[in-house]
Amino acid sequence: MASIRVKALTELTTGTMARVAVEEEDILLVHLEDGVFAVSDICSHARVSLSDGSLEGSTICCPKHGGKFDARTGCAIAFPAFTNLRKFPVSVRDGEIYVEVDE
Amino acid sequence: MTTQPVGPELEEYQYGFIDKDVSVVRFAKGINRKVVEEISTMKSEPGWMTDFRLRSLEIFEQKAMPNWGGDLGDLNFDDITYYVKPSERQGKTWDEVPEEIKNTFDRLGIPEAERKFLAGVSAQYESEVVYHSMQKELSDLGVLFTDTDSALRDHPEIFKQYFGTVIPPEDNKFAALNSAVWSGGSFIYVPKGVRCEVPLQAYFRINSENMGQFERTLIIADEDSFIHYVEGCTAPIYSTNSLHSAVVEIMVKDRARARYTTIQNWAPNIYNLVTKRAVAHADATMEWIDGNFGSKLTMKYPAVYMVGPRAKGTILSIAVAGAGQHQDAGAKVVHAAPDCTSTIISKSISKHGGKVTYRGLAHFSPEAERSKSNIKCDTLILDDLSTSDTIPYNEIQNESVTLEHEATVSRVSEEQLFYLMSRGLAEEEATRMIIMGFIEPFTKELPMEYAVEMNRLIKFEMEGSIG
Repeated sequence: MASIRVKALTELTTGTMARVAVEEEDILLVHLEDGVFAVSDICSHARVSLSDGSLEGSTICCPKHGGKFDARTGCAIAFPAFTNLRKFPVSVRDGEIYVEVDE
Repeated sequence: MTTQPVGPELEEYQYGFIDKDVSVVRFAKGINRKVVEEISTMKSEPGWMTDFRLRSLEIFEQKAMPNWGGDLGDLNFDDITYYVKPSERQGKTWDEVPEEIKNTFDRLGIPEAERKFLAGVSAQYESEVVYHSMQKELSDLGVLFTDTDSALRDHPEIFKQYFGTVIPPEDNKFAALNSAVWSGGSFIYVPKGVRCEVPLQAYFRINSENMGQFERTLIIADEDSFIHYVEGCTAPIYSTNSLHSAVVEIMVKDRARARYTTIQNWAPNIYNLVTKRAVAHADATMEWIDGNFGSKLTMKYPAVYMVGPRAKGTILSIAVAGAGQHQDAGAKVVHAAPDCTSTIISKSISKHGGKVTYRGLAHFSPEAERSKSNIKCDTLILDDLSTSDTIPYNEIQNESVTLEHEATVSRVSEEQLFYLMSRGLAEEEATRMIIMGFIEPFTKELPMEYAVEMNRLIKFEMEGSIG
């Protein structure tokens, strides 16, 4: 695993999410009250970018068909989505967000 | 009742009679925020439902028309009446239903069917359910069978827990439209361990010209329960188009079984754009028995999402397209847990220039270890003017699964005809017999009374199909 710096924490306000590309992987960063979380940005239902959707509390809502995912775990929690999103370990050091991805 | 002359482009249709307008409320044509708010206000809905409707309207307005499937070019959303209330109140006996409407349902055979072999009946005319009844034995067991508006009012907790969870308004443009203006439909809750051995039925009738019917059905079969629900639909023939856009959500809990039988026999001026989806949990079984006759264009793909281990899904459908008609129908089976099994049997018949399309999805997610699906699509094309397409989508994300797909397209064979005619049958009788054999896997799954009706319908549909 490699720990890759993806963004400064100040660039991602609490309650927002943003897409970053790491090692050819599209990753969605979500900043919640209890930390920053990272899941795959591609909806497991119809392969659209979840960063174009909305964040309701800790729930990521897909813009295309309304599937929903838990931002902390990547679990699919509402149809038509049923396959979980891949989750990536995240750490914040010195005000910088790092995501761990396969090398 | 009067019968409107049928244009040359429309084939004969036995339920095309028109009643005089007896409505007590009729909205102006077109859809906007005010229409949606007025529907919600008139039904005295809670704020969350008004908000849900308005959010759905925004989604409907934002979503583009589908650029696949059938031709929706003639569908004008501004030329549709979105709400028509046919009577002041719902009848618990047929005597409480306005006479004109009662006569219509008599003519459609609903009260007779109710007396003979149904445990409950719901009859929707235009936007509202005008008659509803259920046998006391079932209500004593805790079964809830009511129209969807009453369910929102009388069973708000269970309603809110499930409504819109299987098919959210974002799912597609027509699910969003239904979510914005829904009215009527059926709500069924079967408690744990309760088996409804006798079917419940709903019948949907559109009477008005340029009418939109947007019923919403929600069925919850709790653990170890069984329910068989039957729906039928008809409408008069007009020279202009009407729209039927329903949403049906079904939740089949662990070890439960639900069967949903549809015989849609719409007039040839109806756009029938319906979203039907069921979720089957562990060891649950969901069966869609789906008959599509008539309509100008049907786009309907009943789905089973198998989310628990060993869930089963069956979709058995028949589609018949005649002159000027396109049946773009099919099925979706989603295997999202280990050891799920599914079967799709699709029978299509096209004649007199009609077009049938089978469009199906078989999805196996990474969790679907050892799941299996068997898909069989057969089409019978009765003349040179008619067409058929088969468009299967197979998505396989697990290497241990088994998927079998067979498709046949055939004509009524000369050999079979010769054999039957050599036994003394006329050509038309022989053809009909071959067609009956072709659709037999479908009719044998219907309750006997419906199978008889189906055979009669097929016979009627096939009249003049020779040559």
